[in-house]
Amino acid sequence: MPQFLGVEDLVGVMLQNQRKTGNPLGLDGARLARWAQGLKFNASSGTYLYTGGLYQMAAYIDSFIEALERLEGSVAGGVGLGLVKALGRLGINLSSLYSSVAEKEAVRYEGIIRNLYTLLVRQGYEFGFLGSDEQYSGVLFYDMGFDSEFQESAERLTRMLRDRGVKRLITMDPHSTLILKEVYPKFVDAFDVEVNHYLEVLEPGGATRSDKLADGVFAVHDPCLLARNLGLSDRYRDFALKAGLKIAEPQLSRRSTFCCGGPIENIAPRVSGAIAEKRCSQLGEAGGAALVACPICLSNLGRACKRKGSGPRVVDLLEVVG
Amino acid sequence: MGSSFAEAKKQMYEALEDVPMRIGVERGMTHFSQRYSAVIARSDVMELKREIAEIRRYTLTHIEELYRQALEALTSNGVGAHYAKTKEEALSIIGKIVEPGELVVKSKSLVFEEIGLRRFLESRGNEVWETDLGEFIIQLSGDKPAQMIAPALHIPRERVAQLFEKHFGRSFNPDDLQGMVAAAREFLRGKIYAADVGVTGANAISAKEGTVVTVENEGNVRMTMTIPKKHLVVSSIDKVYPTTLDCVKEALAQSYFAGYDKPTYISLTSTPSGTGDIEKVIVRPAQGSKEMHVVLVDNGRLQAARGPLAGTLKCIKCGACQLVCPVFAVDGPTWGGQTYTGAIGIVWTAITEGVDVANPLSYFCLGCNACNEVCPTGINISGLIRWLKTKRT
Ligand code: SF4
Repeated sequence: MPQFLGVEDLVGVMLQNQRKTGNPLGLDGARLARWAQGLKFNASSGTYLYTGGLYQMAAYIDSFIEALERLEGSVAGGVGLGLVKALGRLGINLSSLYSSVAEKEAVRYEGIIRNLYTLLVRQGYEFGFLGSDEQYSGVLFYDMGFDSEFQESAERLTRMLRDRGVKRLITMDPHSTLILKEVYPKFVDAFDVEVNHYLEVLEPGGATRSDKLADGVFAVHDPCLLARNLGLSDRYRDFALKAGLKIAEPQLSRRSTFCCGGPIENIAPRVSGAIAEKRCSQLGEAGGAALVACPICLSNLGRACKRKGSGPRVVDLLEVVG
Repeated sequence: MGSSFAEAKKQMYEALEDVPMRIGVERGMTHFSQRYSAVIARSDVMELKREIAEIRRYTLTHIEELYRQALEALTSNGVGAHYAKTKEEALSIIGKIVEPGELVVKSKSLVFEEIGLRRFLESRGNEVWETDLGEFIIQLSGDKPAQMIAPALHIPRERVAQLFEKHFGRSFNPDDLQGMVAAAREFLRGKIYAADVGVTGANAISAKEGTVVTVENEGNVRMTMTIPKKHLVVSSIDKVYPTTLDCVKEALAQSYFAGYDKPTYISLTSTPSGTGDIEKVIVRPAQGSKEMHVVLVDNGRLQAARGPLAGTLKCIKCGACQLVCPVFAVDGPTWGGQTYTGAIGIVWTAITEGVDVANPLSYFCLGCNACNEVCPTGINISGLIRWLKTKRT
């Protein structure tokens, strides 16, 4: 009896969630849109801020992985629960699990998005937000090689974008950015939405270091896709430096950066965690806190550095400038 | 369905606990990253990278015509030239070249591992010794090779000392690397001088001239190919290049991208050794081998060259992609098939062992593109691995 679930089962859980709620963790849309409460949007230009749900989900990923591992233990370990039944129970368990996630954690991630909102507004951008209708891009399904499931998500999101007359998206994480920029046009007929990461849009000089978190030196961690595929390493540093942050370079940086391990956190959390711990040591050696610009890096490295005890504090660029 | 991913995951989790392996890989990767940064800072290396990428685009689309041309050129050089479609065919050809009972010395080549050469020869009663130090360590440990250039990467010095102690019957100080290397040198030289057959791989073979090019730092390849009376080259069809000059470029590129600032030896071998020093009459052998044979193994390559994994055949096996891979960093050679490990090794596993073997391994790829960043021939390695993820059986 194998100790672990097959990849179809693991991805299947996320797919089931995606179909039900529009995101792979099965969070309800209102929760994902909570950051926008009380904020004003203006969608008249056809430009929208697209969160892809990644920052919001990062607060819950820990609980989700824990649930998956428990499911794995109960089904694959031969306790006798059928998979379908177990999945059903998992669905029920998820909502109670999520409600136990520290509010502080959820608020922290929501704050990151609110901060981007503020920066954009301050630089004169007008944009809309899809609210609780915003759908996940499906990037995970693509990355896991589930192409038709990805296509399903891509078409669903595209329909939504077309219905709302979206012409341009300002994105905030490297994964959603790259998938929309480079993969959507291959999977969706005539996908012509312009996609820009916020670092391409915002002027580096337009932000300053915010609150006490911004003290000291930051070891810059380049998110893989941000550095290698989007080519935004210079812009990222420029942004941090012009805001008044002091930065240090770890041994592996820019295009030679070392992954946080996050992309396989759902299917092989222990391998993912070991990689994250290795990166934490590298960042720790560079000195100071660790700076990231990606929700996956933020949660995966944050968790691993905490586990290590001696690891650096991990913060997102959007937590320390404002 | 899914059980083989589950099995792979179990092994990947277990490997995380293998402390000596992790220490070995960690040390190797750190040394590599320092050397690699120095090498790629050179403009001549970057120029060569552009050239080799171009050459590899050509060889990929002309693979069939090139290996056929090479077989002809080799034959006209007086070399026994053979094409082997499968592993079994390769072994049966080799079985006719190597007599049972002959003493065989080998240099390092992943193609040997791929076809199970040492096991095959040993099963026929041949005494076989690995002359590359890393392979010799692997031979003593019974492991599979960890990495393309450094097969014993996962074995830290402490374990090498233990293996040597068992083999040589005396103790070794793990920090006395010099002493360990000297012991291997003395032992292997004895075997090379006594050997009947020297088996080497080839980094590249020229189609036009039929010249075999090898690159190395230890000096064992030169000895293995010249001292025994028979020189057998076992290589694969993707290693054929239009000209000898292209081959030398490949050899240099492989060496640079493996992190060396210059190769110690590059050898060009076209015919068995001979001399014309007495009245210009060619007499064979002189000081080198008397006979030379070349076996070009296909084992799935030609078919792959026509399908979605074609890009893999541009690989020059420098191993750079493995040594920057975060998954390889924590799981080492466990992430791989029988012969090929980590990064492009996952795709080589698909070609040489089957897509069904490689699919469960593919899901551990992060898609971080660290491999793509370093590959000298510009292979979209993580793209190929993502394709493997779509091939659920
Ligand atoms: S795929 Fe590229 S980097 Fe990897 S071994 Fe082959 S040539 Fe080297």
